[in-house]
Amino acid sequence: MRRLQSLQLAVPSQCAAAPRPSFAAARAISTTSPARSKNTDWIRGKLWKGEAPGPADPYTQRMEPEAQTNLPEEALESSSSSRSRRDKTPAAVRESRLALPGRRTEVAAEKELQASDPTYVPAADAEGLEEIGPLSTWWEQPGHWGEESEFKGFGSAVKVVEKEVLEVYLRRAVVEALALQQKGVFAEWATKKWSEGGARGEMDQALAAQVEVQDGKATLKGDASAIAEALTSEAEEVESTPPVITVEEAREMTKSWDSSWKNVALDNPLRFALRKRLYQLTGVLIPDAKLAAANTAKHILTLAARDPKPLKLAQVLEKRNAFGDLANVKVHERRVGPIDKEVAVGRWKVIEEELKKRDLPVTGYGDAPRNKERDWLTGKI
Amino acid sequence: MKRIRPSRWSGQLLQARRGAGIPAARTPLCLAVRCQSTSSVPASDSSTLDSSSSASPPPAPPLPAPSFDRAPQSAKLAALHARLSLSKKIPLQTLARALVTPSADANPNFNNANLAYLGSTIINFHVYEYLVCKWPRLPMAILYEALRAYAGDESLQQIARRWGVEAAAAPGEEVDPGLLQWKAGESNVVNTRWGYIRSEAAKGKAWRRGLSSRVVLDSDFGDQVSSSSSSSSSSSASESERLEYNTLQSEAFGSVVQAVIGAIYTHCGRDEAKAFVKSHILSRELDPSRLFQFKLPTRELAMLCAREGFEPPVARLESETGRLSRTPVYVVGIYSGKEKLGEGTGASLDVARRKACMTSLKAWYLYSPGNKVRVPSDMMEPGAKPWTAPHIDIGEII
Amino acid sequence: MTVKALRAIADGKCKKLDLHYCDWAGSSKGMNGFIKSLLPKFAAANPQIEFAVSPRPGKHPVIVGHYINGRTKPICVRNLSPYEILQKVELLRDASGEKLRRTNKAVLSTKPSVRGIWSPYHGKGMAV
Repeated sequence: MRRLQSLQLAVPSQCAAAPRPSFAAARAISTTSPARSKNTDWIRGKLWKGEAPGPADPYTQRMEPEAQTNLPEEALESSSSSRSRRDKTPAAVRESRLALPGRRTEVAAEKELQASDPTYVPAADAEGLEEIGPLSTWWEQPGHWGEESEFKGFGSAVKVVEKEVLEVYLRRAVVEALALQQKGVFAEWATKKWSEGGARGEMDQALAAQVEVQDGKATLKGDASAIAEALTSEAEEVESTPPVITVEEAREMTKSWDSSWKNVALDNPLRFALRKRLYQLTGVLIPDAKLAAANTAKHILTLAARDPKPLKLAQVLEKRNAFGDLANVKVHERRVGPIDKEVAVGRWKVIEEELKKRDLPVTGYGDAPRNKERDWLTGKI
Repeated sequence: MKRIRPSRWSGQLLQARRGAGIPAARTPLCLAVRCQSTSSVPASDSSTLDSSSSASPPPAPPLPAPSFDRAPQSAKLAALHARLSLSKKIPLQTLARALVTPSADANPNFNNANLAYLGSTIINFHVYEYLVCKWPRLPMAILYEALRAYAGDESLQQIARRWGVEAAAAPGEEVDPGLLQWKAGESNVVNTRWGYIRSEAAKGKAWRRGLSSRVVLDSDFGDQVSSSSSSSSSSSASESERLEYNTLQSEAFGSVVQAVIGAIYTHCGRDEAKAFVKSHILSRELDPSRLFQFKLPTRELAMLCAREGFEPPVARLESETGRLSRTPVYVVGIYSGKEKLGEGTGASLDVARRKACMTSLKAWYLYSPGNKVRVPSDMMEPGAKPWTAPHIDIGEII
Repeated sequence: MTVKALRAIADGKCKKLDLHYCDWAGSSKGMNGFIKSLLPKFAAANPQIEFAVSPRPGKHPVIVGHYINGRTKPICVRNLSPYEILQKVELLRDASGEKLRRTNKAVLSTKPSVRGIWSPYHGKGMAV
């Protein structure tokens, strides 16, 4: 699970008291010295015919050399520490709703407290203190990284592979796009997220509409406004996946339609809208390079549909029942590995037991690092 | 002649000789309870299960040997079945059971102990009748050894290996049912050796009775049946351990052959079993003349001639060469009256004479009426010719 | 123990055949065809042999014969057609499992000669 590792790295640097050298200062490598850049001003002037834009040295965003001061050490130190106390957390992190680890706080020392408050008694134990784990387990703690923080993609998590089902979804996307066009809000909504349409009714509503195509121009006959309404509704829906259609259902539906609807001519906005909608509904993303060649909805369908994977030999044999009545033939689905062989002769349980007795990993390397020699050879160590 | 029913023999065998000695330790023939499933849950466990029926049952401990449910799935087992050209009447489950030895699964309902015992009686019966009819004058000790050569564990192990039977590395539930399940464990169960522990066994190995008592008291091969404790208290060298391992291994493999024959008998009947024994066990070649070892051949031959009423044997030098050389050769013939009993060659006169005596004795002992000798079990075939009693010798000479 | 096995098992000495194939690789094309089309008939004709068909992804197809004497014979059948593979399988089935050796004697026998060893002390003797 990826949990904003950069955040975790960023936070302790805030807590660390010692000021880090700035990034620019750390990058001291430069091919041109400032003194030399003065010498190259004239040629820059010639090249640009007047005032040259940009810095003299474009490769390093060199900070202005610090002014030479005659201040004593203490004064310098105090000024630098005051700067490091400034909050340097990125704005995005500061505004996020994530529960971040607490920042470093400072309290008065014991002596100062005693001086100001005569009733102060130093604590003898950690009773009543809030327990927080170490920083390394921060995101594992409850409430810090819950369901709401998980990544949710735009595309459907369940990928549709059957061609018939894809066709149904594509038809729905075409109808919806046409409906938006008829309502005249297509330009506005092309780049927004359309409502996911979890309910079966919405889909049936969209599929009920008739599409008539004449020379590539498509007209929608049906309740276009209702469809557009359903799409553009801002209501925050409950998490729902697009309704599942079985292959048989999809086959029935596609048979009932006239196939002419697939000849809809696509212009660029419509093309992208269809692609986006199809990705949202089915999880199938058509590559950009191929999308440009798609001129009709039929092309889109060809691009989105994949041939089913060829069957494995073992599956073919099972399907044909080739060795059905032969008891002396055994067909294995998977590779017969060394462990399978040992299991078949009964030695594996003995091996397992002995390995466990010695606290050795049964399979794999356990905690032992893998192949240190390779690291030596590749210069990693 | 009545049909032989070895399944009824056990009762007679158990009771006929009760006074003769202490019965050997043997597999208890009790019917262990194994309810519904194939797992070998002891009876006490099942009672506790009933009381806590609502709670989820604890995971059953793994079976000591593969369940017979899996037998039809095993390609190895099917191939073995076909390789032995067994009849379709013998199910694969029975063949799978024949491969489970008591050392793997002690439950007699699921191991091959009973089948193996039945098979061993059938094998021994057929081999005995064949040996006795083919070589009617074999001395008892040689007969025992000949029987061992045909039906002993080592020979049966060779047969099982020729069949392609492989042993599992360690028996268990997950093992292929087509593999022989056995382990050289601490529990040395004597299952196919039936006999009596002699009361004088405590007196040591040197104390040995004569052959007649071996016939009565000892196992089928004339071996003394020892209690398991005495066998383990032998010299604790690695050599003896290896020997014991080999013995157990050949016992396990041998029990497979015996159990298969027992299974054939139970499922297909007597004739099939006899044909199987004939083609797999009696078809093996045995040269009984190699089993002899004589201590006093000359005296034995003289006794033989005296008993049979021949003229006393006389050794005559037939030819010789190189008497004064480094390698002399003498050819000596033994004559009884005018008949030559045998001849032998040797590097000295005495050796040649002894060898000639041994040849004549072997010629006597190895008399055979021919290869087409009829055995008693031939009479069980329908429409068999009337029985003519074979010649059986009166016995050994000394 | 003087018993010698006189009779071999009638059905030969091959007890198991392992057939490995790959679903993806082109060198397994013939092997896959063999398993699909020819193996059912071959296995039905040879019930005494155990057949284990298993994939070996990313490797050339191999047939391994296991014999009763404990030896194995592997044959790589990459790029072979199904009928060529059938020949190889028949070769493995008919092999004894022994190491291949040159036979320069017409008869191999464990028996001593039928006529016996010639002896100088018997018969009429030879005039020198």
